[in-house]
Amino acid sequence: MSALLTVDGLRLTTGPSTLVDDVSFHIGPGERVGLIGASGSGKSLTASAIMGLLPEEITASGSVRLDGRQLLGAPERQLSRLRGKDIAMVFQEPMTALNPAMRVGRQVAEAMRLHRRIDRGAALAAAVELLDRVRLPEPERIARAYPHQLSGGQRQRVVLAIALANDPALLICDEPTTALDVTVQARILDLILAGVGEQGGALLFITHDLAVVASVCERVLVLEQGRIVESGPVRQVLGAPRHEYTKRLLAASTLEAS
Amino acid sequence: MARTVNLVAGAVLVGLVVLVALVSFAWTPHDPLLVDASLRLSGPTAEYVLGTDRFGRDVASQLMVGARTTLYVGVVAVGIAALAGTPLGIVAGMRGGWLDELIMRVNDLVLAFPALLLAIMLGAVYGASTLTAMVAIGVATVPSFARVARAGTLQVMSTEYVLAARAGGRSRAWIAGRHVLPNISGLVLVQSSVSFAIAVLAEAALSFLGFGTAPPTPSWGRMLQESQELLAVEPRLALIPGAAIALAVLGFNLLGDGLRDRFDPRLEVRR
Amino acid sequence: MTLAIVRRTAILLAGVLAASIVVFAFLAVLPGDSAQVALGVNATPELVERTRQEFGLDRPLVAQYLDWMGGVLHGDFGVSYVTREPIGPQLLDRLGVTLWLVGAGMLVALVIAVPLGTVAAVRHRKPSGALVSGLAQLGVAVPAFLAGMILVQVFAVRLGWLPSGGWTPPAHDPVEWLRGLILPAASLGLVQGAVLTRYVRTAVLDVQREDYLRTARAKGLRPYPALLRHGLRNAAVPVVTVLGLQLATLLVGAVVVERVFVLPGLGSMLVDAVAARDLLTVQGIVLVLVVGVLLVNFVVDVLYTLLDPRLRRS
Repeated sequence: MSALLTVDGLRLTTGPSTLVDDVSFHIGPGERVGLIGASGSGKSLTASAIMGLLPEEITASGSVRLDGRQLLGAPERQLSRLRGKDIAMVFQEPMTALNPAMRVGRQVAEAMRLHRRIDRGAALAAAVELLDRVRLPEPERIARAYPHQLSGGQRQRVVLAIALANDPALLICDEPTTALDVTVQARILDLILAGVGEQGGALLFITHDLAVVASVCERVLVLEQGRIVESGPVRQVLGAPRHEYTKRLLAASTLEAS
Repeated sequence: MARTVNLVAGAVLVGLVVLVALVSFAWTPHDPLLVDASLRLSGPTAEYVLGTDRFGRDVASQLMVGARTTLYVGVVAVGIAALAGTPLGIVAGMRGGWLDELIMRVNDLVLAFPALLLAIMLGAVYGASTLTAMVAIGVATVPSFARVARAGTLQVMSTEYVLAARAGGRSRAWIAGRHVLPNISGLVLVQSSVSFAIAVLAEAALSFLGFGTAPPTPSWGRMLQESQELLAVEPRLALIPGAAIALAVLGFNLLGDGLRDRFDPRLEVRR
Repeated sequence: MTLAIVRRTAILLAGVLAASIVVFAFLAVLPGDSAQVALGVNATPELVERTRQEFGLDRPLVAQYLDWMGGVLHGDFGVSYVTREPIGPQLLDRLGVTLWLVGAGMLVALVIAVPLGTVAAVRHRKPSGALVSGLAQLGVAVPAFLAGMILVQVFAVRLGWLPSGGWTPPAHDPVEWLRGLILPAASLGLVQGAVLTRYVRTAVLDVQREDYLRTARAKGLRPYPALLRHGLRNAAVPVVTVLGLQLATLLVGAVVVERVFVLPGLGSMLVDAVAARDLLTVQGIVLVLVVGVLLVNFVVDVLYTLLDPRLRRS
């Protein structure tokens, strides 16, 4: 089976410093892969590189291919056609991820209207449906609300609804539950799993929380200071870590849990 | 890198104006007030580097003494604004409540009287002079300082060390002197530089209108005004003081930007 | 939201009241004897006394103030001590000229600042962006009247394309009116445009760093459309504040530019009135200008609530 996403020798630099070095991995269709590491290990940058949304001052080399198409260095025109349709992303901070001056329904509808021929009314109706799909109560009311009228968990559902709007082949989640209350976290995780599961989409899940990885992912990559130090099935890596860094991560998370 | 460029370029320009003004006390190429009909509207020569005006006065010497006027007005105006505005802002920020409300409302009222208007009003009552211009620009600038000082004070007051000092029973005056003032001095310095630039422009505009420095004291704004009728024949007479004003304003603005980059921690984190 | 507007209106009215008292105290009380000021030191005591009675200057100050403000509210600004003509009609006439000038100046400033500021922000790491920022920095340093003098030299005297000054009422000859308005509006707008460019640049830079802009890009919006659809309205909030302050600056800057272009606006009327020691006229003009500034602040505050839904309280 050919891979959906293939990252090969990805290297990210800014000025003299190397932030991500020789990162290679692949994700098969419908596969759920975790990317773990401490903060500053280059997880989010790797995600931005895949999305083609790196900050200007960072240069990327290597290769990122989706369905065989090279994304790295592809013209913005091409990338923007893929973004939101084939690859979508859920960000860490729901409080700031939505435009404060635009009603929620329009922000969700926009994601659809960018990639499909669909009129405003139909898109808004579809947006309400999507809001319902991420289990937001009273989706019609929420669609008319502004972001500041919603809670953090509700906003993250909206962000997820935007990401799922076009049933992407790959969903990237960058610490999607870190900023949320513990009680809300589990529900968002369920929604993410259901969201990709329904359409057979693949998932790249970035986190520093090993327990979450264990419950969400099939395979896991361990990133340390911009390099992948260990990878394999979740049970193998978390059950019998070989690399010193993974062991330390595990020990730290057990401490946290107790 | 670009940050230091602003600071250095601003400091150089401002330094130049200050230097010229200082030198003018001791030496000018000619007497800036000496009228010589035989030398009317002479172009630049070896002896009169920037030429002469329609009364035969040396433009270079006038320009040098004009720098003095500009700095004098700026220093007094910004001084009035900083000395009145900063304490008001600190008091408003530290006390809060009705006093804060009162100070900020009066502030808003003063803001409705821009410097130029205030100067014209003062001029109408007392007769226009350098003094009325300085006072008007100064008073009109007080609100800027009060706002900056208040915002800075509110920030400092919410820090842990101030909370600790308050819990430790330190007096307001002690906290103001020990924590607030040192911490907002950077902001006040930035505001001073920016206000100085505005004051230079305001002084020029007032002199142009005839509400600033009275003749014969040389002033860049009045040099411009006197040149207006001769603009077609002698654009030099307008461009020279005009360039001097623009460079001085540019200098203070750049200096302000450079200082802000230095003192604004929000920007420093971002590289 | 209506509550916020009611509150703002109350603040506006209080501001106007306070400002009118300040203006009255300043120009009617401080100088001492307005009649003496108007007539000059050589006037006979009898003449001064007669004038004083004629204009009601011998009555208590509070009565004089109430009389003045009562008239102003009906558009009656009193009769000039110097020309003995009613001030109101002339003031309204002049106000029209100034408002045209300020409006056109603001338009020029906006047309310059919004695109240039946006470009400077989007390309802030590139030479073209730095160039725009540099030009703006330079433009801020040029006094409006100098810009006016240079524009007159180039476009009126040398090229002869546009009139160097003077005013044609729009109803009289719209083409001539427009031609006469271009240079004054440009000199006012160029400089303010430079100031505004810097603020637009900062606002757009700030918005570009916002997470929601990244969300917009992640949806598949290209950089400029993302900025237009999601950035502009948010960037508008700080820019509108500056715009308000600038309108106030423009209103006063117009005084100087009117002088350069010999326009019969409020500014030249003010300068002439001061020269003629016509304090009641000065009082009226200053009040109109100050109330103008307060009105602008009021409008800005209301706009603010409309632009940012977070500020609306339901």
